[in-house]
Amino acid sequence: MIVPGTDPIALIDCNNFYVSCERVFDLSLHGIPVIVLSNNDGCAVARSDEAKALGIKMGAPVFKMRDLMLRHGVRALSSNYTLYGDMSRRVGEVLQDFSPRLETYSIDETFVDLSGFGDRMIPQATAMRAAVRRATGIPTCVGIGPTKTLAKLANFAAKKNPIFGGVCNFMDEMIRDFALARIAVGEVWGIGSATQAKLAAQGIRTVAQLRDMPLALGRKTGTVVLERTVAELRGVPCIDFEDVAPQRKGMAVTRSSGTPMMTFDVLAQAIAAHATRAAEKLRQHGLVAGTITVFYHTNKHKPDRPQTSASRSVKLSPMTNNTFDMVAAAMRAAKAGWKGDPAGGVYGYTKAGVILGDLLAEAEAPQLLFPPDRPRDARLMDALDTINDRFGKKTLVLGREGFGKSWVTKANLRSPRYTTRIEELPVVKV
Amino acid sequence: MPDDAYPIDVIHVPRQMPLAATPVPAGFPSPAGDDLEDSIDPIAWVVRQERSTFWWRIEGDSLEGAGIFDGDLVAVDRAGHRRKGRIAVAVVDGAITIKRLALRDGQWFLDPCARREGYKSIPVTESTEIWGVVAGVVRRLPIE
Repeated sequence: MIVPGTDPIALIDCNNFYVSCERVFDLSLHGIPVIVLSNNDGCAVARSDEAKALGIKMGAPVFKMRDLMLRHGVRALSSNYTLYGDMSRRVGEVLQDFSPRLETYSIDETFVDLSGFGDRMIPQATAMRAAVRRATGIPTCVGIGPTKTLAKLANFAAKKNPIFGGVCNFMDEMIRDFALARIAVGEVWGIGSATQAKLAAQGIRTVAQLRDMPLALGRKTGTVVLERTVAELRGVPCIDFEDVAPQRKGMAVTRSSGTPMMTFDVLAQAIAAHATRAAEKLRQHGLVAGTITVFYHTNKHKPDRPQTSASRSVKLSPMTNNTFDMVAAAMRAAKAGWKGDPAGGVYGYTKAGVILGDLLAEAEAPQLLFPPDRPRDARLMDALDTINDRFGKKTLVLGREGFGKSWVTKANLRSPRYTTRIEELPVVKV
Repeated sequence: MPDDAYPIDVIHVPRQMPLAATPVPAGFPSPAGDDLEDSIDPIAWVVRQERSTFWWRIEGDSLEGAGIFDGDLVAVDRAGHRRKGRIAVAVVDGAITIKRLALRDGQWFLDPCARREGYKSIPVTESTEIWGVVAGVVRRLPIE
């Protein structure tokens, strides 16, 4: 006997989040097709409803749709992650007024525990949506269900069908059954195209059919993951509600370079910048790292050019989040992996990054018995972070990072950082 | 995923990278240490709701009657209450503007705040969107 979950979980999901963020400040983007591009302006990673209606798919490469974009006046923007991050933080702060238990699932999706709200559940969800809209200008939809998988599907229904008015409640069995019979199985959380094909071979095309398949067959067709999904569709919670995001075990900062990096000096600047950013992220999260891995490679998609890749790890002892230490270690690792003449050879590196491993909370990190004396202390790191916080990222950088920035990612169409840079504030003409 | 991103094999070549640690400062502790406070932060006084406050830069002279000048920064609270007399950021015909909210005979208006004549009052219609309410002004004067 399966007992469905009785505690409602809501998923609040920002509609076309990146495009919505841009539209808060640039009113000329309303009512026209807008897409936001991936790093290096390669493909569409977010689309407005108008762009979706033109048939522009998620991940569509720009070079293949130039004609279509020109014909329909599609506005393309580079990703402005600074802006999206700030807007996401604001959305999260609004949501905290509505439930003591939240779980941020992604930059634009948050699970909200609505148990204990009883009959006020729907008004609560509606008020939550309105508050986010009012405080940030970001439109959202809310899906409610007894499990996370069902909450996600309810959100999908809320987005697709205006009849729900932005809030769809799958705690209501009639609504749930109606919708599940009409939603394609591919929309279910975690069902990829391979699983979808296997299910189709068994005649399973709708979510309702997936829900009703025997659990054992589910495990045979997919894995234990699919079996759990089937159980979740029946209302049995199998995916935990996490109050806090799991502690990060690793962290990476990697970027593609706009122009190939030919000399060690240019590569070193990029890696110094990535290591600096990684150290900043560590300090933000109150963590220290035990290893740092540096890697860089050429562009695999240009097979006519000479190909190579390098990666070197360095153990950090004691564990650290100090920018100077991190950059020094990264430099040693980068140097160790470099092939040939530092002034440049045949390889043009297009991607470089640092990966941190063995992360620990600062307080739990082992200390040295005889710490070496050194002039650079934690106060310097504090000062570095404070200055870069107040005056904008990269106000203070290590000289190793250089000032040329020839390695910077292409982002020719990026909108201003409206909310985080005083010199890029939106302007109102009066 | 960006189209040029793909997983690569990571070869681990462990090396020790000895680092320095923080020295302990010696000497008599400052008696003022416990009495230090943060410096005064007028921005925190202007911004009552950080999450719904956005800054805009003013260009033009039609708000001088409201004490807002060319080049000023205004803090706009999107969740601020729309009341008569308040200075509001409004979207009119797809363009953004700042005016004073007024109520006359049951009809809302966006009144100009210019010192000189020639600006018209705009009636609030269904298509007018109030973007937010101005919560404060920040002006910088030359010191050089």
